[in-house]
Amino acid sequence: MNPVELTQNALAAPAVEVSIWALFWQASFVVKAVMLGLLAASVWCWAIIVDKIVAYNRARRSMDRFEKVFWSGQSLEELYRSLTARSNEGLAAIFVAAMREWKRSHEAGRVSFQGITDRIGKVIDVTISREMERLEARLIFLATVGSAGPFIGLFGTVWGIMSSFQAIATSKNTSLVVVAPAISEALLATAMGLAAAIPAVLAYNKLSADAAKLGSRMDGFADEFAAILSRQIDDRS
Amino acid sequence: MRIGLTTSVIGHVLLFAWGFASFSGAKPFDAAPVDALPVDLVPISDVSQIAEGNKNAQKSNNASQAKVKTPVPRPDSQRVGAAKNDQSTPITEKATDTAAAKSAEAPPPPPPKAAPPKPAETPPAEKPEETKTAALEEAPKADTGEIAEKIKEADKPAPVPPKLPPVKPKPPAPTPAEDAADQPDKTPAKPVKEKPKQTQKDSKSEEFDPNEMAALLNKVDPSGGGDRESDQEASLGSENRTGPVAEMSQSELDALTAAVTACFNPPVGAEGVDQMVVPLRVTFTIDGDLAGPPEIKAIPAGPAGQAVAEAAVRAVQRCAPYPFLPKDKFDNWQVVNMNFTPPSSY
Repeated sequence: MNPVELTQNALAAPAVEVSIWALFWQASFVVKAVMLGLLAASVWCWAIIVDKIVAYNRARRSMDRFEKVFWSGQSLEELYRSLTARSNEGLAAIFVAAMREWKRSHEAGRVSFQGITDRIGKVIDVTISREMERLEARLIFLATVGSAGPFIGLFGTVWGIMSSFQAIATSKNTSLVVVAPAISEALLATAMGLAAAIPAVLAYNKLSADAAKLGSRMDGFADEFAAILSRQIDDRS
Repeated sequence: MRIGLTTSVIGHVLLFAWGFASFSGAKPFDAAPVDALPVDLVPISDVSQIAEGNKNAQKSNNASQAKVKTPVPRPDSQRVGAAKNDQSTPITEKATDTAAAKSAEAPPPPPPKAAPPKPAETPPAEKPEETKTAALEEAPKADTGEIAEKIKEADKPAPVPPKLPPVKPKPPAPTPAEDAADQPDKTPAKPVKEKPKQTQKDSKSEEFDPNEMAALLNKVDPSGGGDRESDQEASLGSENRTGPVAEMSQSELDALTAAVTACFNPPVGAEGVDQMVVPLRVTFTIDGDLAGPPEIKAIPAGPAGQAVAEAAVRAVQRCAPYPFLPKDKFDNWQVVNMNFTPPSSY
């Protein structure tokens, strides 16, 4: 082989591909795994975010509708009958649970006013906690991704830079052209970690605040309804 | 949950599609090509050594003043700078006399031409005066005859030129008289060298003139004093040429060594050539040629030492003219003590 040609081939700068796909494909196995995991976490985070926003909006609207119906002067018996036919959530679930307990206390002609307030209170508490659990489900995943995402990305970066330094040591060439793609590829992992973590943290803060607001609203309704039932019990006894 | 997952997946796919489209290739930086800057390594001694100049001169913060090539000195001058007392050669005012004595030698060819008209116009006594003035002012010219005539015409209103003392014309007077008598007979070439002697003898014999004596004793060539070497201010430095004012730069020494090394042929079968050092003493002429055969100062140790030393001498001789050596630094490389190291590539 022509020696001049040989040196030219050796000296020619390696063709550098810096597109995102090329960077991902050049990465080592560990970095690829980290990036894929972070991508999945980001997808799942956004799925949760969208789902929760939709769910909270629906819950808020259904609460508004129920309160309008509840305070419209309609008979509570009728309301109960119309609501038991379908599955309920939010304020309706609390109302149905309390009414069911009230009805059971009056079943078979026996009237046991003893302890009915306590039982109704317990049923309401259980329903509220169940509702809150449903509202806050999967929010903890957002919190986890928000705190752990940067670390996972950083791990990928450190691993990638480590292996690229090993490659540099083997190739005995410290030209920036040789070093740059590997470092760029390694930094992609941190970028993905941050991209997953930042929306997760923001969404977690907003969604947990929304859930707390809905929970306090349910608490307020439960207290009012318990007061109404308690007055009824006192009137009848 | 399905709505959220679907939305999220679609969003990520769209985001990555946009990412692939927009980050497909990084925009390269615009790096303007920089021209290569030639660098010559200059020894610090060029700057740090005391330059020749005047101690009282103003210091100029011009670091390059030591490196400036000094112009070739004008003849008859020594000092650098525009000092008023630049002229190291004293002005010899009386030198005109010696010039006249010389001119008395030089003009003889013309006398035959000049002789015929003279008797008619002027008495012979005045004639040497004119020839003298002619010689004084137009010494190099051979045909003083015509000029002498012109000067004669110009001088007539004031026959005695101001520069010459009035006494002088007298002593040479007899000579022209003799010349005038002799010349018609003799050929002009022969009497040339005899005449001055005659005049001296005659003058001595006739009368003692102290001025004439001084003129005769002054054997120095006439000179108008030295010229200024340059029109620039004297630079700060020592007036004594103590240190080497201009040293050979490293690159020049390297060039010499490289040239010698290129011509070196190692002796056949010699071993350990690359560890040897042959100290040579080479003498140059100003043309860069060798003034003599290089001298081996010490023969390197080892069986091949003698052969290698001779090979080094042959190498110096083979490349002999080294025209790249700077002539203005001839003092520094007139004698070069070089430690010649044979190239190790053999």
